[in-house]
Amino acid sequence: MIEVLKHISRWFLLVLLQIIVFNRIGFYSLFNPFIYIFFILMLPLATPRSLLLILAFITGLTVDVFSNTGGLHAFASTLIAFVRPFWIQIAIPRSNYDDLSNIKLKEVEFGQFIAYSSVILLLHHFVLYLSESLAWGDLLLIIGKAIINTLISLLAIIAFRYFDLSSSKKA
Amino acid sequence: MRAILRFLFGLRLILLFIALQSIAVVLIIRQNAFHRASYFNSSNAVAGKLYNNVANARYFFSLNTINDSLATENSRLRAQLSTKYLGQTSNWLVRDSSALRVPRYTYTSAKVVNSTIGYRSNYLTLDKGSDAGIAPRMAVVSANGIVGIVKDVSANFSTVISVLNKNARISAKLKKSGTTGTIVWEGVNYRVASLIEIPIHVDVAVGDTVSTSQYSNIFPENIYIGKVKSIQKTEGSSTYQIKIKLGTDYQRLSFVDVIGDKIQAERDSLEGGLLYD
Repeated sequence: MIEVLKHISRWFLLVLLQIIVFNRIGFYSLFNPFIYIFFILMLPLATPRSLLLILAFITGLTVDVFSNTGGLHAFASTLIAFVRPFWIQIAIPRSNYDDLSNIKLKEVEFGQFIAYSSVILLLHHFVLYLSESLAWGDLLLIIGKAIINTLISLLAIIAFRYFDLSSSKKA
Repeated sequence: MRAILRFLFGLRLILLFIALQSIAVVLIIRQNAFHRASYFNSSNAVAGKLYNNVANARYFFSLNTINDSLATENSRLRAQLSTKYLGQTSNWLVRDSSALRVPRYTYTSAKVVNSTIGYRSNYLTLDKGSDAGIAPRMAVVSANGIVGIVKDVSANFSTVISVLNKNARISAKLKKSGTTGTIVWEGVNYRVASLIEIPIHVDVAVGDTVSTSQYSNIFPENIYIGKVKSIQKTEGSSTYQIKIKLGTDYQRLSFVDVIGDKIQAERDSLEGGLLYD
C-alpha cells in the first residue's frame, strides 16, 4: 500500500515539475526534456503489461492537456510502456539476480539502470519530436533535440534516483 | 467461434496498445486542425487555474520589469493620441464625425499564464475566455509586436497559437517597400522566424521593419512583427531567405491585448473562411 502511495505521489510531483518547470526551460528552442518518464521507468517490474500501457497513456495524456500537444505525449509514453518489458529482459539480465520478479528497480546496478533508462528515454524523445514535426526537412533538428534532451532528462533522472535511494535508506 | 475468441484474447495486449495509440493519433490530429475545437488543452478550468496561480507567483518577482514595460507602452500610446488630436483640432468637423464612427477593432487585455517555446508547435494560455468576449481566430498582440491567434476558448481561459508554431503562417510585409510575404517559424530559436516569398528584385536591407500586411484576415494592418536580421540569396531561387528577429520575447511575455475584428465574420464568409492568414 505504501508502495502504491509512493508511486502516486511521484506521479503528481513529476507531472507538476514537467509542466511548470521543464516545459519552460527553452534555451533557444532546443531544450525541452521530458522528465516525467521517470514515473514509467520506475513502475514495479511485476506491473501487468496492460496496466503499464494504461498508466503510461494517462500520464502522457495529462502532460498533453497541459502542454497543448494533443496526444503526442500519450503516443510516445504508451509506446515506451509497450517496449519496456522487452527491453528490461535485455538491459537487466536475469543471470545477475536470483529472482528478477522479486527485485526492485532501484536495487538494480547503476550501470544497468542507466542502460535501461537511456534507451527508453531516447526512444520516447525521438518518437515525440518526430511525430510533432512530421517533416523530413526537420530530421537533423529532431535528432539533435532528441540527443540533447535525452542527456538532460538522464541527468535529472539520476538525481531523482539518488533522492529516492537516500530517502529510502532513512526510512 | 471459441477459437477466434481465444485468438483475440491472446492478442489483447496488442489490441489495447493499438487502441490507445489510435486515440492518441486522433487527439494529435484534432489539436492540429484549427477549425475543430479540441477539449484536451490548457484552456480547461483545472489547467487554467493551476497556471494562473503559478503565473501570479512568478509575476510577483518580476513586477518591476512588467511595470516598466507597461509605463513605456502607456507613454507611447499617449504620444500617438496627442498627435492625432493635433491633426484634428484644426478641423472640428472632421474630429467629431470620426468620433461618431464605431471602431472596427475591440481590444481586451489579458494575462499570459503559460507559454511554451520548446515544442515545434507552441501555445500560450491566457486568463480570459468567452466570458470576456474572446473568441477563436482573434488576434493577440503585445507591446512589442504580434503574439499569435486565439484557438480554443473556455469560459475563463483561452489557448493561443503562437507565431512559434508549425501551423502558423502569418501574412507580413516589408514596411519600406510594401512587399508582402509570409512569416513561418523553423523551430530552432524562439527569437527568430523566417519571412518567405519575398522576390529577389525587391530592395531589402538588414534592420528593415516587418509588420502585418493588409491581406491578413486576423491581424490589423501595420502591427510590428520584427526586424530583418539576415538576408540570403540561394543560387537559382527566385526568392530571398530572410530571417526576422521577432519583437516579442515569448519567455518574458506577461500581458497581451486580444483584438477582435467586427467585420472578420463577414470577410470570412465572403472568402470561404481561409484556415489561417
